[in-house]
This record gives sequence, structure tokens and C-alpha cells, in this order.
Amino acid sequence: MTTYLAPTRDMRFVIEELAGLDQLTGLPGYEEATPDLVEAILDEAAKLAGEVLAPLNKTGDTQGVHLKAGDVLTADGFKAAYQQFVEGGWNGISGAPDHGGQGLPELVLAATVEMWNAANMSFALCPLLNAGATEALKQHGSDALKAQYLPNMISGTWTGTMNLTEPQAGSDLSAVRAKAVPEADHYRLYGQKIFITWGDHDLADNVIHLVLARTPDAPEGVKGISLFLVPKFLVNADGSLGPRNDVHCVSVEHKLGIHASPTCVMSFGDQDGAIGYLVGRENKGLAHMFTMMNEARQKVGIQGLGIADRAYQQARDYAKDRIQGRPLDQKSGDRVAIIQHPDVRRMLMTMKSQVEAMRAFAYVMAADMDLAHKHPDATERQHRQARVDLLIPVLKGWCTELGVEIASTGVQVHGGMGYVEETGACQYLRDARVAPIYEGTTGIQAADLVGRKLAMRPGCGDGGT
Amino acid sequence: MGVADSLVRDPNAAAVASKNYLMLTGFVCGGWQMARAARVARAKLDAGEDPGFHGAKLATARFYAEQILPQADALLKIVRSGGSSVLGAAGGAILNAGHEEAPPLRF
Ligand SMILES: Cc1cc2nc3c(=O)[nH]c(=O)nc-3n(C[C@H](O)[C@H](O)[C@H](O)COP(=O)(O)OP(=O)(O)OC[C@H]3O[C@@H](n4cnc5c(N)ncnc54)[C@H](O)[C@@H]3O)c2cc1C
Repeated sequence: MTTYLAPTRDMRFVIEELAGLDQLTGLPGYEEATPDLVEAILDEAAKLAGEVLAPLNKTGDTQGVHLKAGDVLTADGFKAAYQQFVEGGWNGISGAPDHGGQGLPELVLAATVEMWNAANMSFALCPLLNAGATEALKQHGSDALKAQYLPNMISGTWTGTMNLTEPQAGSDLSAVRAKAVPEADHYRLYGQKIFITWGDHDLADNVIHLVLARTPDAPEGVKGISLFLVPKFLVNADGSLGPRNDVHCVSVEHKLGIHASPTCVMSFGDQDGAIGYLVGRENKGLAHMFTMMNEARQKVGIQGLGIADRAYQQARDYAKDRIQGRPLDQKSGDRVAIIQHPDVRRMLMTMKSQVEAMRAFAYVMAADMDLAHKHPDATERQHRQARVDLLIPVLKGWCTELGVEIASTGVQVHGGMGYVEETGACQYLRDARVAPIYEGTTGIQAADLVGRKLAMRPGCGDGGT
Repeated sequence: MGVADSLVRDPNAAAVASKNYLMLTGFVCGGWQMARAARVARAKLDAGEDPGFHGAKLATARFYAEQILPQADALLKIVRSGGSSVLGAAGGAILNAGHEEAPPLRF
């Protein structure tokens, strides 16, 4: 079995020296995020990641998930681990304090997200998607919806999903066809969504789907898409769970990696229509989604970083022990560990140095997100936000592409043993491979950077500079 | 005129270059942070603080500068070559070759 030791010393170096934790502790709401508290949080998170989540990574990979009588069953140990995750308050560490979160900076969250993903990327996807759904609801939901759903989503007792993709609508969401028909104080949803991560599972009591769909008289294209909240179990006025809603997982995909993360085909409205509630305004669904996209893309970028570090840790361990060949200038004598060979060392350093570069870039971005939200000076907030908007596609695209490359280098360091499943090195490569695809492919990130973000720079595209 | 500006002017050429431009920006942003890390590490070393840790930070930044960052130069060269080898007739010739019996794809 392979271990994972969260590099907390390296993380603190970046948090304190490069991302400027001291700038954040001066901001309203972040007063408690002192270096001591952050160190304590990272140490606790490292324990959960190393002792609870990492040991389940391989069993999750081999067992996968199973659809039984309409319910998705997760791999052994995941339910208990998730329980521990929720009880430790990890889901809500950056959540809004008025809904039960701890309100810590994105910067601290970034380090924990790295740990969860390095330890067990399949597991980490569940809170990752929940965070996106929570953010969308927090920003655009009515007070009534927020009061009813946010506290349980922030604690993690319920988990959120993002239902965007349909067979004909992937990169191009303007082609979304799911329907939402108004009825009394709610809507009835009909249609099929595919590739829905953690779309159904047995870790939490309820699953809260955020769904893109069209109302009957909506205009064509992106301007006719609305956002709805569709709970798996309807919620009674007193907060208790009511009847099962008409939304079901009809199959789970067999995929290259992240086997323990259910990727679901979701069917809405097979019987009398799935009851859903409008989030934000009609026809503004895509615009509402965009406001949480930076956070989601940042976290997927961090997945690339996390998995790369895990691959590095394992490759370094292996290279210390594997005996093969002799140094170039010795024809006889003891054979040496492969870490003595310059090319193997170069591979390991390529992994390590890029992990550190990605971490520094990702955490600095996270601190910029905090400053963009909370800096007292409006110009400074704008400046930080502009930098985040410009560089998030780079963070997402670059870190996820490097994640794959570094995991592949990890396989290479192992030689033939890298290609057999026993060592675990190839699981990282298989798991890492999805990150450049979902949450907007690298091609879409690149188009966003060059086509939209550069074009929006002042002085660009109008003959300036 | 900078690379960014020429990309904005010709959307199709920009679309050809954009992935390489993104990776270039990534390597440079990584280098930007590694340089900052090196500066902090140097100061800590001079102050005699945890030489093992900070010495490794400095060495890692140097490795990145010498063995990783130069990829950005190659990517810049690719980005500067524009999109004409992909767009139009040239690109069509590549993807149509071997499929002469089918109606040609036009770009
Ligand atoms: C494991 C997994 C989990 C997922 N989880 C979720 C989820 O929880 N919720 C959800 O809604 N979706 C989810 N997705 C879907 C995911 O977001 C889409 O697969 C992704 O956005 C790409 O869409 P697509 O598969 O339709 O590919 P396509 O859009 O068909 O893209 C195919 C290729 O064409 C390129 N391309 C397409 N359009 C353009 C363009 N305009 N310019 C340049 N290149 C272009 C793409 O970059 C790609 O290389 C998941 C997918 C996977 C594999």
C-alpha cells in the first residue's frame, strides 16, 4: 500500500512567505487565520488525509461503485470516512459563518483541497462538487432556499451536484434541452443529464442537484437557460426529509480512472416530473453559473497539483529502493538504487519542482481570490479580481495538463512495475487524466484565456500597446 | 506589437495558438513564483534560518529555471509561427491525405 504524507512544511512556506497570509489576517472576518491556527489546521487535515483517505484510494479504485435497485453504493470505507470528514467540520471550513461555516480564507481551503485530492481524488470530488453547488446557491438563491438547504450543504450532511452536461451539450451548453415547467410555487423538470459526478450515493442523507434547464417559453441558446435546485428527497417545512423526488440515477459510467467517484446518468421526470425550485432569475442560469466558475476551476487545477505530488512521493520512495545498474564510471562493484542515476534524478526533480511551482501559483491565486472578496479598498479588490479572472484558466489548464504529465513520469520512474496496477503508480495517471477534461477542457480554458480574457485587457485589441 | 495583441487580432490564428499560449503562461507564472520563493529562501539562508529547508528551496528554484522554464521559449516560438500551417488549404491537405475517395474536408 502506498502512503501519503501531506507536505505541510512546504505548504506553510507558500502560505506564509509567498501568498502572504499576514495580508489576509488583517481582513474583516479573517482575523483568526493566524499562522498558529493555520499550522494546527494543516496538521489535522494531514492526519485525515494520510490516515483515513489515502488508505481507501486503492480499494476505491478496485471496487468502484455499484448501482443497485436505483441506488449508488460506494466502495468499502467511504461512508465512514465521509462521516469523519463531516464531523471534523472539514466541509465547511471556508463556508459562510451565518450558515454554519467557519469562514476561513480560500488560501487555507486550497491547502486542504490539495491534501484531499492527493490522498484520494475520487473521494475529494464529492466535497468539490458540493462546494460549487453551495456557492451557486449562496450567491443566487432566495433567502428561503438558502435557509432550507445551505446549512446542511455547508456541514456536508447533504451534498450538492452540478447537472450541466447533456449528450448534445458538453463544451457548448447553449444546446441544453432539459425542460422546466412552472407549477404553483415550483417547477417540474424533465430530461437527461450525463456525466454527473457524485450524482447519487450513500454517503449523505440527501443529494441536492443544481440543474440547468429551459422554461417552456425560453429563448433559444445561452439566453434561455435557467438554474434550478432539485433535491433527491423533498424537504418538509420543518426541515425533515419528505418523499423521494422524481430524479434518478439510471446508470454509472465505466471509466479510465476515479473509479470510486460515481459518474451518473441522471434522469429527471420519468414519472410525474421532478420538483425543482428556481435559483436566481429565469434565463440567467448560465450567468449565475459563471460566478462560481473561478472557484470550481481553481479547485480542479489543485487536483492536478495534488495528484502530481502523490505521484512524486511514491516515485521517490520507489527510486530509493529499486536496485538496478551501476554508476556510469563504475564497471563493477555493488549495483545502486536507481535514484543514483542522473536521468532518474532528473525525472524526480522535474516532478518535484513543477509540483512546487504549481503549489505556489495556486495558493497565490487563492490569496488573490480572498483579497478580491474582502480587501477594504475597491480599486485593490478590482485589481485582484482582474488578475484572478485572467489567470484562472491558466491555473486550471496548466496544472491539470502537468498533473497528467507528472503522473506519467511517475510511472516511468517505476519502469515495468509502473505499468502494473500493484504499485499504484498507474492509478494516479488514470485518475489524473480526467482533470484536463471536466470543468471546461484545456481547449476551452485556452480559448477563454486568449479569446476572451486577453481581448478584454484595456489597450488590447484596439491598437494599444 | 506584442504576441497577445496579434492573437487578439486574428481569432482563428489565436485559436491555433491558444493551448500553447496557455502552457507558456503557466510555465512563466510558475517561474514567477519560484523566483519569489528563491528570493525569500536566500534571505532566510543569509539570516541562518533552517538552512536545509531553505537551501532546498533555492536549489529547486534553480532547477526549475534551468530545466523547466526554457520550455516557455520553445512554446513562444510555436505561438509566433501563427496559424497558417493549420488553417486553410495547408491544414486540409494534412487531414484529407489518405481519404481521397471521400468528399474533401474544407477549412
Ligand atoms: C468523469 C467526468 C465527470 C464529469 N462530471 C460532470 C459533472 O459533475 N457535471 C456536469 O455537468 N458535467 C460533468 N462532466 C462533463 C464534462 O464537463 C464534459 O465532458 C466536458 O465539458 C467536455 O464536454 P464533452 O464531453 O461534450 O466534449 P466536447 O464538447 O464534445 O469536446 C470534444 C473536444 O472538442 C473540443 N472542443 C469542443 N468545443 C470546442 C470549441 N468551441 N473550441 C475549441 N475546442 C472545442 C474540446 O476541447 C474537446 O477536446 C464530467 C465528465 C467526466 C468525464
